[in-house]
Amino acid sequence: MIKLSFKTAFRYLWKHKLFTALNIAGLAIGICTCWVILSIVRYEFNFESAIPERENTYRLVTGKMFDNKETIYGGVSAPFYQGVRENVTGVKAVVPVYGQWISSVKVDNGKELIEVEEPEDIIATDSSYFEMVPYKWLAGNARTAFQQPESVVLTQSRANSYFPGLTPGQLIGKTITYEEDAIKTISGIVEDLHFPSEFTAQEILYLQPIAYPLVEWTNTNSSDRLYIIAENDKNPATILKQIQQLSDQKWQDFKQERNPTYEFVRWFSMIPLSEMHFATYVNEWQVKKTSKTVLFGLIGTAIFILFLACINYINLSTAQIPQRGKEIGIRKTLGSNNKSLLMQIFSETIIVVLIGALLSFVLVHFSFLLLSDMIPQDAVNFQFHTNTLLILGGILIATIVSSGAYPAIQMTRVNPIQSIKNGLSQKSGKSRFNVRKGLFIFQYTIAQCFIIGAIIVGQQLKYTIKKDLGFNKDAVLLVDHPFNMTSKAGFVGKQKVLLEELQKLPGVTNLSFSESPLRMGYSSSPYIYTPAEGTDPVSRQLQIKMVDHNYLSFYQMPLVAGKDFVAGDSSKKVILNETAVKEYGISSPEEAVGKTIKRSDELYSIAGVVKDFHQENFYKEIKPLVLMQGDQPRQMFNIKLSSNSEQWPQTIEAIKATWTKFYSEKYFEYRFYDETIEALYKEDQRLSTLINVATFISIFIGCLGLFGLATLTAFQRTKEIGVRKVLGASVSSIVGLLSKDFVKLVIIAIVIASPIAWWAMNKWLEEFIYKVPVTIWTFLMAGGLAIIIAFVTVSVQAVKAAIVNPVNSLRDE
Amino acid sequence: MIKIQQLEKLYRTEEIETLVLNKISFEVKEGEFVAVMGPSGCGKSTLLNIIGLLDDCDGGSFFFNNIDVSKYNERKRSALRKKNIGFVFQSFNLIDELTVYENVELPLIYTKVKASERKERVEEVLQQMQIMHRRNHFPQQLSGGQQQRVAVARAVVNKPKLILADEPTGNLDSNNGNEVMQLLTELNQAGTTVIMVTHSEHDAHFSHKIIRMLDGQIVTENILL
Repeated sequence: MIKLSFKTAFRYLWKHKLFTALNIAGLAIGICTCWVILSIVRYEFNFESAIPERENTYRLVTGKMFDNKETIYGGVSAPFYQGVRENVTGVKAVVPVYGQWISSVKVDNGKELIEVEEPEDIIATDSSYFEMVPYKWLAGNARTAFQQPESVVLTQSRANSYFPGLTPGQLIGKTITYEEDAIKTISGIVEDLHFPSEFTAQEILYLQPIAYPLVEWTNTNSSDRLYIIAENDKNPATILKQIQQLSDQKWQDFKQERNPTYEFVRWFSMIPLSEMHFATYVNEWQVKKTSKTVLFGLIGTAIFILFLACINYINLSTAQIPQRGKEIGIRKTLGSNNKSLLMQIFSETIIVVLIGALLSFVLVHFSFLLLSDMIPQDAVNFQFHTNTLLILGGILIATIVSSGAYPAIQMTRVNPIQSIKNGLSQKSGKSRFNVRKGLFIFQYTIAQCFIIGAIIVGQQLKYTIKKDLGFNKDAVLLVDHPFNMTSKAGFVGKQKVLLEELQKLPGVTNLSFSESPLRMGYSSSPYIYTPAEGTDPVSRQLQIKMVDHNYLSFYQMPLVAGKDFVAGDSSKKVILNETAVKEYGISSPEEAVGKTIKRSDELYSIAGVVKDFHQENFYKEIKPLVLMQGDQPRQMFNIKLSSNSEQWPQTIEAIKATWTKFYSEKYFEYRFYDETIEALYKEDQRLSTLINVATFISIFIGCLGLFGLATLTAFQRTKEIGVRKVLGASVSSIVGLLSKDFVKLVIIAIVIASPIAWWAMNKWLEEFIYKVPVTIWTFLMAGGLAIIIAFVTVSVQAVKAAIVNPVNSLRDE
Repeated sequence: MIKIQQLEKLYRTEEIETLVLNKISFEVKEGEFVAVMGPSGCGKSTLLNIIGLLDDCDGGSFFFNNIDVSKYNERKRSALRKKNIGFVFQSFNLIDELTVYENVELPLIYTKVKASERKERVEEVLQQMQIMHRRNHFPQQLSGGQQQRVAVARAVVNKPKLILADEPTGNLDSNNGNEVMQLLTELNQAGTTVIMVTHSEHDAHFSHKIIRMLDGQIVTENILL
């Protein structure tokens, strides 16, 4: 019976190739979406999965007030690892993982001298690290690795890049030179971790225990990470309490010793290691984090898209029931019970879903290639992970059940006598509300939400890039000044000579050696303004930008009061922005000119007030700012190119040639300002791509379904169309007749989707301080788009049906 | 075999109620060949559906092998039907997706006959209907006469005690029609009871008894010698 069911199902599906293809295409896309997202989700939730004591392992993080906001930093004060070990009970192990910034590494591997500038993923720790992280040792072992303090342990991949061709055993005893003169001996080689982890260290140095000065207890470095493995029965709160006491004690000691003028508040949290990957609120560099909200959003998107494909299947299958009535009737007459009918329908569903799954396998491959910008690359490894495949299996079963159940139940309800004698009545396109219409509306509601979302996200992104930022960034090239060379012997003042040389190049129209106006990261300090003798001083945290005299004219920033900087002026003059003036309560920019502000003991005179411009992305409001004239490592070469962009490649080559007369070529990294601003919205770009893909998929699946339904309707109404044509109906009136019902449903979907999308998009835009307004036009545009797409899809079939010679369609009856 | 007393059937729509069968009583003995005749809409097909346990009645009683089945639910009717009754329709009603062989095999699958026995019985009946050479063809590849022979084969493969034929020659030319009538006669001679609805006097004369109906009632019952 099963064999026959499948055989019949194959023949049935083959006979109705169009519908089968539509269903398979929709389901393949739906399953592919689920598969890709499942791989991503499996990858993200697999972080630290193989850490043996994961449940008891915590990361200690530091909380501080910054800009009047509670801010959590990923690091701790360096001496804490010793302090916690010595003073805190209930702790099984304390593991310091202190990131090391090293400017250069030299390796002589016998064949060549390898020199790496600023190598990444170097940490300092002690042997407790190897107890926490389960490395597989290829040479050496955890016990002996740090017996000698000048030791280093490498991962296999790093070892291969330094010493190609050598076996792990041969590497023991080889040396690596850090920072010109620190020679470390390789004491162990470990296999790279096979699970996603924040333990990305490639070179593991020994952290020598030292007696830290008291001041170190008050500094926090985000790259100094501390892990605590609690004893089984210990509540983190009791450990935290002791840590807080330790911290407070050290602050008291420091106060006694140094008598500082400021107050210091900090607190701690212990974040479970399993949660660290999702702790996006923790500030730290170079640690990949993922928001759980985003992951749940992705899961939701996957489910919706697969459900859209299931709806297509349900709609097309139930719509075909009238055609199949006779067959079902015969089966029932011959003694088929409901079970065998269900088996027949489910055989078809199983075949369609499985072919869809096979096809999705190919699509998944291409998706990973095409969307490589959006998908974490390691997620590919989770495509065939056992858990992924098990869940995917579950999804396929759920798809089969949810797609097949409703059509199957409908088929068992077919009355055999009626179906054999007269065929089933074809209630297509009439006003009666039914499940199929409901599902269709649901499908288009989702598609419509995506369309509106895509339009608004697109508008906001365009706005972030096109909006006047308060300065002119066109044709501006940024080149970083080699780090720390401003004060390096032999390089002092070189940037000025370089500027003069660059100025001579044709194609360079203007120059400034300054911090660019808008960039991520800034420094800030409290500056005090005293309105009048005897009044209370006003202290405000001001962002600081170090600039040169040409800055305002370079970026075409208008002064609203006072004067610009003068070249070579070494008096302590500053320029504030309008917000700073307001924050200090000064009545007007003119009023501010000539007043002084104070930092520590230094007084600065306000030379002018610049019009507000955006210093950060649109998520942040414009903050009070002070521009200062001077030389700082953060400054960079701002180079304005001529407006003729065809010349740019030659100009850049010329700049590079000039550059190499002063600095090494390897430091020459240029970028266009436009691009750096776009990069600030990388996450939003990703969201935009994601929503565009989701929109495309949902519209595409919706159109597949709509096309199928239109085909069936046209077929089922063949006779009616014939009669109408005989009576004189035009082709356009028939196209209208067939399209009308669908377009009506699409309009209902638009009405339902619009408020939902309006709410969701306002929620998203709330995060931005500067944003596009959400207008009715967006919704009208999205609605119009949906109607046009639906109408075009239906028309293809409607026109075909309308131009058939009525003689043929009537004879067919 | 079949005993019908005071049988009534009503068709209701939202506005009107039509009495399709009006207190009909008759009897069919085992081994009989009965033809039911009458103009379109007189209720003969409805009667056949009720006898075939495809439809239920609204009044009266219906005994099948001395058991009152008029109150049977769908499950019981289905069980009784698939073991005892074979159907032959005017429009053949073969399943397009199944081959000749599979169409004939289908009732045996539903009655859970073992695969080996199924093969034997299907081949036997295909031989008998002289359609064996077409066993792997699909219905659309056959002529009308051949299709009806397959339909008859399918109706008899389960060795039913009763065959119900609804205008079995209605879609056939006279040669093919005669062949089908011959087949039914042979089956009847072999012991199967046959009830046939027909418009054709010619076909009706293959039977033992002609029941004539009009407006839901039996007008005459002629026994042919």
